[in-house]
Amino acid sequence: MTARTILLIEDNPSDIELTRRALERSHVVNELVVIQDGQEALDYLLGTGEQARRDVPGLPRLALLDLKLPRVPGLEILRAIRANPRTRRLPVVILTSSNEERDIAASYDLGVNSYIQKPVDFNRFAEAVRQLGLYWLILNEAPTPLT
Amino acid sequence: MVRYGAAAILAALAEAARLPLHSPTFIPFITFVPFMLVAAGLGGAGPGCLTTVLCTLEAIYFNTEPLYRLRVADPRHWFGIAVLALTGIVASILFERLARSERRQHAAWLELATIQDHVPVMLLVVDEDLHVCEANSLAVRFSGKEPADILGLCPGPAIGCLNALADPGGCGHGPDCTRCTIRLTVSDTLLHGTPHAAVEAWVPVVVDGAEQMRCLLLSTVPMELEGMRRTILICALDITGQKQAETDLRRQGQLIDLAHDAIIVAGENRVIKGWNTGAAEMYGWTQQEATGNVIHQLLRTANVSIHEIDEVLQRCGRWDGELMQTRQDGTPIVVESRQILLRDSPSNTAGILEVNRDITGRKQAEEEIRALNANLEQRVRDRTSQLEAANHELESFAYSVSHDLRAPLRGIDGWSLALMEDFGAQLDEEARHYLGRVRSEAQHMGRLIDDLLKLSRIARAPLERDSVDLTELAAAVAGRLREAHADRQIEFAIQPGIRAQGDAQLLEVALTNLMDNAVKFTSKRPDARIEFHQTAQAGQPVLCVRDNGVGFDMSYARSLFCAFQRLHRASEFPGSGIGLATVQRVIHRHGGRVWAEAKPGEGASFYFTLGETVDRSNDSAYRG
Repeated sequence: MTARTILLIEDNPSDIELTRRALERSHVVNELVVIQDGQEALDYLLGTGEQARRDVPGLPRLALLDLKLPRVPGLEILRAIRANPRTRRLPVVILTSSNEERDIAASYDLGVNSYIQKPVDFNRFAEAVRQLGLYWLILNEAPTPLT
Repeated sequence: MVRYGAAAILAALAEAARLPLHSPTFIPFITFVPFMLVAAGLGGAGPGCLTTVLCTLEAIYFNTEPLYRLRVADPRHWFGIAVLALTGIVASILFERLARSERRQHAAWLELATIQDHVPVMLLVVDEDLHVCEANSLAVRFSGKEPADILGLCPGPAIGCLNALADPGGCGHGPDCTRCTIRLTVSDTLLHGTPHAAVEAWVPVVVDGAEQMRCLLLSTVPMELEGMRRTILICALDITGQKQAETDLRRQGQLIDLAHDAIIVAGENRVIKGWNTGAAEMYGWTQQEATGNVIHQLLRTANVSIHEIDEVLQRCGRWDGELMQTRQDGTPIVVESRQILLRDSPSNTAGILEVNRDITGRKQAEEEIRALNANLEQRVRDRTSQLEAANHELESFAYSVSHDLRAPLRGIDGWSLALMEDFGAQLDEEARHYLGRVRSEAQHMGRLIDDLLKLSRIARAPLERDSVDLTELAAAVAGRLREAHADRQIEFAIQPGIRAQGDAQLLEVALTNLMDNAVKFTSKRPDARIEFHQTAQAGQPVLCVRDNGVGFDMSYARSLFCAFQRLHRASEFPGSGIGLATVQRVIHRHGGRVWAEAKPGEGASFYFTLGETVDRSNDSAYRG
């Protein structure tokens, strides 16, 4: 696990594949780690649960977070990420189907870095992912991870 | 003194009268008697006795042997002297008695005359022929005649009765006079000797120059004095004033009885003294049954203590409030009570006047309304919570739609594209076209979902009314549309200065939809023109978006504002069919109404109001 990892927390297999495809098409070469469950994502990031017995992996460069997830919803994961000193500075982008005002507001209140609604049109979706990768992985200056 | 001087002179004259007689001793003393009688008769006892004493002394001195000495030689002469003295004294005493009696009689007569003239009763004395022979001054004053003119008249005319004047034959002959109470009463007393007391007689008389009916209270008494003619004394009292007052009082009493309110007069300790018909009807007890009872014990006043009322009454003189009481039949009654302290002097209370009005019905109605209100509030609460639950459900549904329905669409689109990209070379033209159709359908459904979500969001968003510059709003929308359709020539004519009260965000959604439609339906025209202006209908401002596009047939207008209803083919004019439904929802949320006018090929006009009053009768024509 390197700091160049992109963590995708998403439970829809189709969306996972399409996201992976969109990233590939945009020539983003960073390794994509996919976690399909809210609780697993927390364990992975915070080193709790089963993950606690192993080494805690390094933090990803960027986390793409869906809102609707099994067991622990996306907003709860975001809250936990921001509440933990280790993960506090992790860039988190919400990538979701919802464009509900309250979801957007709640995400920003919890300190999300970006909020992107997944368009139905795959071309537009791929474009969004491309720009996302370009911005967060290349243009944006990443913070020093806290250890 | 004069009388005594005169008595002495008389005594002297008595002796002088004997001087011509030659033999004084021989002539009996009888010559002194006339002088003594004159003195006693004119002067009374004192002068009479003085003359008697002097005459006796003169008889002894001058006329008895020895002469000129106060001695009597012959004892036989003492008899004559004694008779003389006794005669004089007896005469003096008798005359004195007589004079005193006369004086007393005179005084009594004077007294009677004074009483007669000052007694506040008319007094008339009539003889057997029914003719007035005496009248006191009050009777004369009442008649308005001279005292002498009254005498000899019948009693009716004597007191000025006008009926008698109308009857030339005199009283007792005319049709009115035959019924004259005065005449009948007096005649009865005259014929049968029966006295009458307190007979009321109404007579027409002239008072202060105006004809009036006066009521006289008559008493007649036969007066039969020995040796005198039979007469009748008529006493008459003018009681018109009292009668009037009585009538007034009776009328007031009737008025009190006419009142629907219970009017109760109570004496000390609230013992009932007066109980009107209203009270009898309201409570059930008759006046006889109620009188003598203590008010609050009889009526079982329950909700207010009498001490409390008394305390207020003593302090303020009156008490107002509601009392809960019980009728005779045991049914409860609620009254609005007004109690007033009655005083017979500033320091002494005489009782209480209690006026009660039955408000049982009103209280029941109030209670019912209160119950209904409480019930209604409960129902509103229930309905509100149901609505809230429904809203909540709708929100979760919208959320699910927004999130879950779109994901598979994205999959369909994405994998179609992947297929096309990765295996495009192996597919023929037709297969690629089909894949293109799959994608376009998926994208169309995505747009439909987005629009539906917008519509539901408009229904749920709170309405924030403010002053909105519609001109500015329309211009902004026009600017965006011009940018989006840069390839087209569109003329926007927006009336300046249109303002309205409304929610700026919602109104922008409505204007965007209307103007977007206008742009869409003018796409076939090279000279597209879109107007936004304000007009008026029934004094209310009406806003209008008009275009010169394809228009539509008004016979299909009824489904215009329903979601997913379209009047044009999607291939011709694409759209979700939710735009006008959204517009209508925005306008209805403002309490306004929206309607359209159009003709095929001649453009369409969409009108809407943003009034406070909701009148949707017009819209229903389009909605069915």
